[in-house]
Amino acid sequence: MRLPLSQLQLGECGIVRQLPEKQVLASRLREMGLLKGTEVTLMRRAPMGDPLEIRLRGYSLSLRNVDAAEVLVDVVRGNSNSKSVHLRISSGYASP
Amino acid sequence: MLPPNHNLSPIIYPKYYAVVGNPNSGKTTLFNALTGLRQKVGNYPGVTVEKKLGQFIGQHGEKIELLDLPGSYSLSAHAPDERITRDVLLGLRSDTPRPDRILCVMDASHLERNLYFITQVLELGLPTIIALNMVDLAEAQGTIINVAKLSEELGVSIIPCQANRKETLLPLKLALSRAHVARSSWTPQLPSSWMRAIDGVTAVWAEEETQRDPLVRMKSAILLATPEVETALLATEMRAGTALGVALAQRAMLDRELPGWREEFVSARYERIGELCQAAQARSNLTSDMVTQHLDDVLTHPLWGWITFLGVMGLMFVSIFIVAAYPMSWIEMGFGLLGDLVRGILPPGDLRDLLADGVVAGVGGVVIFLPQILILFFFIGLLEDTGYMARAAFLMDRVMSKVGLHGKSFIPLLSSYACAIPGIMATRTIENNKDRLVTILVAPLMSCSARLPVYAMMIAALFPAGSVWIKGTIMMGLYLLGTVAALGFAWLFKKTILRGETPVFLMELPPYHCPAVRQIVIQMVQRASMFLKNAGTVILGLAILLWFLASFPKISTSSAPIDKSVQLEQSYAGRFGHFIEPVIAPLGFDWKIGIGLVAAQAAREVFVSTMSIVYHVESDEENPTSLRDTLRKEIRPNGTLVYTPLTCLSLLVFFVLSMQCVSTLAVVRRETNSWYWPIFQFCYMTGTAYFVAFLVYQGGHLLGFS
Repeated sequence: MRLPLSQLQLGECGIVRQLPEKQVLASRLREMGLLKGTEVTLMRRAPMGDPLEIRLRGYSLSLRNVDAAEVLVDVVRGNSNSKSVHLRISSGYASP
Repeated sequence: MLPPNHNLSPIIYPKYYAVVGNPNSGKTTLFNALTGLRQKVGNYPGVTVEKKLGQFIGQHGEKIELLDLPGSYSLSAHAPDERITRDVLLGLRSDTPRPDRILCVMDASHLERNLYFITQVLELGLPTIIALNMVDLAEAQGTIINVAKLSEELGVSIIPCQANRKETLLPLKLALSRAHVARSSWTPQLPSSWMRAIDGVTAVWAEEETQRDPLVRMKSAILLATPEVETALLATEMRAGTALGVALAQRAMLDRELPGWREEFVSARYERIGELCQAAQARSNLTSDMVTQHLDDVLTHPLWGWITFLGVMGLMFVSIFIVAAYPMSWIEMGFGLLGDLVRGILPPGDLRDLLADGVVAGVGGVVIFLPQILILFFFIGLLEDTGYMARAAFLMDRVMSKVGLHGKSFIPLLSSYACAIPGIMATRTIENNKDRLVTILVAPLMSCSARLPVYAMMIAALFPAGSVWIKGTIMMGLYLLGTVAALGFAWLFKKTILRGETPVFLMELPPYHCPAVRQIVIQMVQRASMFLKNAGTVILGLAILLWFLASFPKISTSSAPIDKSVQLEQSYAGRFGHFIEPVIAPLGFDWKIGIGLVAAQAAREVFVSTMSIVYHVESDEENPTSLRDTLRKEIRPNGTLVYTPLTCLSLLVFFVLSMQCVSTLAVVRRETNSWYWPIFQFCYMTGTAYFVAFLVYQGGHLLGFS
């Protein structure tokens, strides 16, 4: 299932498939390690719903909903409690 | 940094390192641990980015200079401070010589992302040493790094250390003192179409013989990969204007032939880093940073998160507002005694007055800010060092983004309720230049503690018999007015003069750390001494100027005791009060209030003491009601009362909104590195204050109030 990063459930994991059209945003995200094929987990939302905290490559990054909405991810299936799983395997590589 | 004449020491050359690394890699902690307080802090000309030079004595007794460059995630810079790092490393800044050597700080617990920037730096081909920081943390998380292997792959020395523990730094100091430091064997591996594009660009701007130089090729690569809007600027800086057209053409060609090239430029590097990490990093029983995750579950929780946040902010605010008041009153008292002492020693005359009322009072007026500055920077240091600052910004971003600001603008604005000076100094934590400038511009609208005495006096004059509730409500209304104005102007500035692309809000949430006291103390001392050196001198000068204006010319009475009230009226300030009366009359102010407004430029609370001089009131401190009662009886030449409710209200509104603090202006000048912004700030704030006070007074009249 492909959906915007901002619409992941808490603790849900996704593989990045498409980066934003906006060049500045896309290149910034890439350099922070968010590339096509990178595995990201939605860790939490700020109390007022924005921004988000995602985890990738073993670190936590916060970004706003508007920006996260432009990143499309494939939800990783069969990972019911991936928040904790992701913490344990916390490497940035996409699992095959 | 080489002294021009170093004949005296022909053998030992100072070694000059640039310290680079990702934000949160412990770079500044390491820099502070190595250099201590042997630091010079200034600004890069033309920008608001801080320049930090420090030195320490190497193992052979020679000086080693370190330049702490702003933390960066990439050499294709996106923010002004990243641009500084890039430009210094590429040798593009005329004010800062290119370092001979580089010290990379690498966070062992986030090896992958750190290596993205560090491999870029290695490709510059300069002698480089890598400090592998936070090895303890990485090990605690189950990551064992094979340092020998990593060092072999990268071709440079890698020295493990813990920047927060000085005893672990000896091997690093030894390495930095070496006569020879290796250049990296790591070379870029790029797709062939990329190589051709780089060749094409390099051929246009570089000399034939330097075209294979890694630095030259790196410059071309950065020119190609740099964001569209900045390409022209970078080309000019590189003195490669001719290459601009070629770079753009090559880019268009790449867009056609290799649509995913931008992605590939980055992903190719990450792929290589991935292989490198798999070879040099053993991971077992990974716990990641569970402590951080558990803490964040609480600290960013919809309920507990807010409670902690309010608690922390409340504690900070109370400390600045109430705790700082004690040392501030001691300072005030001390300088008061010093002034009396001077008055006692010197014979009466202009010199005595200059020293006692001008210099001593002026120095006191500078030192008085220190307690608040120190306390605020203690908290900021603590919040940044522990990692909570990023969480505070995470919580507040939604609120601040409504007016176009960033979550990090919250703390400077909150601190400005105590005093705009530490608040403005705290804007340094905001990376985005425009956000920072907007925060600086609106910070003095938050009602600071110096306005409090004026509010209290005017409210007392307004409702002498009013209940605490009425007075409290008005007081709150004034604070609210200032806050709304600050947020409104922030929104307006972001829409107009400081518009620009909405900055991308990407903020790392670093793992929580135990704070290092030494680190915090160094920062506090640095901020305080910068304030004294840079803003303090300006404040002192202006204080003496204002004293002069209020004391000269002298009335020539040699025998009779000088009437302070008459003297003030005769002074330049008094004449100026008369002079501006026609201008301030529409606000309901007479020339006596005009004198008070002129004097209040030194500091707002001076208004109260000046008014007591103007109205012959003795010591308002001991007998606070006497000034109030005098104000209430004061009449205009035509027999009507001066301090009607409408005048009081108009005056209050004027004090909420106007810029009446030369000290703040001096700090704004220091922080923005230009006179333009403080002048602009003075004009827009005082203009708005005039306009709104005008509306209140004239509108009130039209509606039949008096």
